[in-house]
Amino acid sequence: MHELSLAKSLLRRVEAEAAKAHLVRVTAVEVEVGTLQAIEPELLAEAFKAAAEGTSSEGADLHLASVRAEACCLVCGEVYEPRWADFQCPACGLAEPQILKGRDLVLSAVTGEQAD
Amino acid sequence: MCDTCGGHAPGAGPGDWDADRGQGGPGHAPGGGTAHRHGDGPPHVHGEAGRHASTRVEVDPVAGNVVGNNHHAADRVRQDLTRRGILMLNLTSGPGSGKTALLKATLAALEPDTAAVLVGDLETDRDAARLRGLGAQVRQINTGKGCHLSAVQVASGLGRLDLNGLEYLFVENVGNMACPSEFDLGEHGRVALLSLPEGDDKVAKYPGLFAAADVVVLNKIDLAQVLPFDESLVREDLSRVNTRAPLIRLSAVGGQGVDAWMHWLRSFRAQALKAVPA
Repeated sequence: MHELSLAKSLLRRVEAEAAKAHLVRVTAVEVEVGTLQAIEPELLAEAFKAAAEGTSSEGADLHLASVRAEACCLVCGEVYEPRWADFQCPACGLAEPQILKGRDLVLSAVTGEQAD
Repeated sequence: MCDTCGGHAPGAGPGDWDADRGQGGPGHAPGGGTAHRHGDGPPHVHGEAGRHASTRVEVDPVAGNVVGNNHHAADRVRQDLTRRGILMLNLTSGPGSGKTALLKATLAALEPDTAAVLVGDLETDRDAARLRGLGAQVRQINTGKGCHLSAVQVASGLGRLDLNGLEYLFVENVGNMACPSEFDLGEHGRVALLSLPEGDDKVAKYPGLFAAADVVVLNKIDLAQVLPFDESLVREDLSRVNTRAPLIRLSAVGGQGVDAWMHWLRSFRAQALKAVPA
C-alpha cells in the first residue's frame, strides 16, 4: 500500500543520480528489495511508471532483485534468515531477532543516455 | 571485467537481474565500443555513428537507500527526545482498535503537563478533538493520501509542541495494519494494538506490525463473553513473530487492565531512556 510513496522517493534518488552522471534519459533502474520489505513488485513497478511520467525516467525499465533477509537472534546469537511471517530462531525457538538485512529498498544502478 | 559495472557478473551479484540479459550484464553497449571517460563523468560507451549508447552508473548503497532519509530523520528525532528525557511511543493498529481510547485512559492517568500526543490521520481532526480537554498538548498531522506517518512529519510535528517538562510523547499512527509498521518515526518503542472485534487471526495476517512491537495490547477484553475470539491463537501466532513483547489485556473504556499498561509504560520509559546514552 505504501508503494506509491516509495516509488516517489525512488524516483527522486534516480533523478539525482541521473543528473550527477549527466544522463539525459534514463532507460533502466536497478533496485534491491529486502525480502522483509512489505512491497508488491508489480505495484511498485506500476507506481514507478506513474511517478516517472514527464520526467527523464519516463518509460525506464525497473529491475528488482531480492535481497535475502538476515537476522541475529538477540537471545542466543544465532544468525539466520527470518521469513515474512516466521521470525523464530531455528536454534533456540524464540522470536527476538535483530534484523541485519532485508528491510531496505536500495537503488543500485541507473542506466541511461549521457549528454556530452 | 567492465570498470563501469564492476562485480555484477551474472550470478555474482545479489538476486538475478542479469539472468535474462545475457553475458556481461546491463550497461554494455552493443557495437563493441570501449568504456572510457569524458572529463569527470563516469565511464561510458559510444556506439557507432557517434551516438551516445547506454551508460550504466552504479549507485553507492548508502546514497541509494530509498528509505535512508526516513532513517536519518528518525535517528535525529530519537536523539533529540532522549536528550530531553522524553519517551516517544508509536501506536500502530488497524482502524477502530482503540488507539485513541487507550490514549484517553493513559492521559487521564498521567500528570497532564508531562504528556503530549501527535495524531496522524488521512483526514479530520476528530481523534485529536477526542483527546483535547485532558490537559495534555495534542497536535493533528493530516497525511492526506498518505497511508502512514513518516519521521519527517513527526519532526515537524515536534516543532509545534512545547517540549519543556514533557516525559511522554505518544504518536497515534494512521489506522492501517500494513504500511505504518515499515516506517521508523524516531520512537523508543512501538505499541501494537489488537481488539477482540477485529478477529483472532490478525497477528498471522499482519506479522510485520506485531513483529515490530515492544508491547502488544489486546483491547476490548470486556467483549470476550459475546465474541468468538480465541486468544490462544493470538499467543501462538505471536510466538512465531515476536516473543519479546509482553501481551497486555485490557479494556481502555472499561478500565480493566489499564493499571498493568501504566506499569509497563513507566518501567519501559525508565529502561529506554537509560539504555540510550543521552
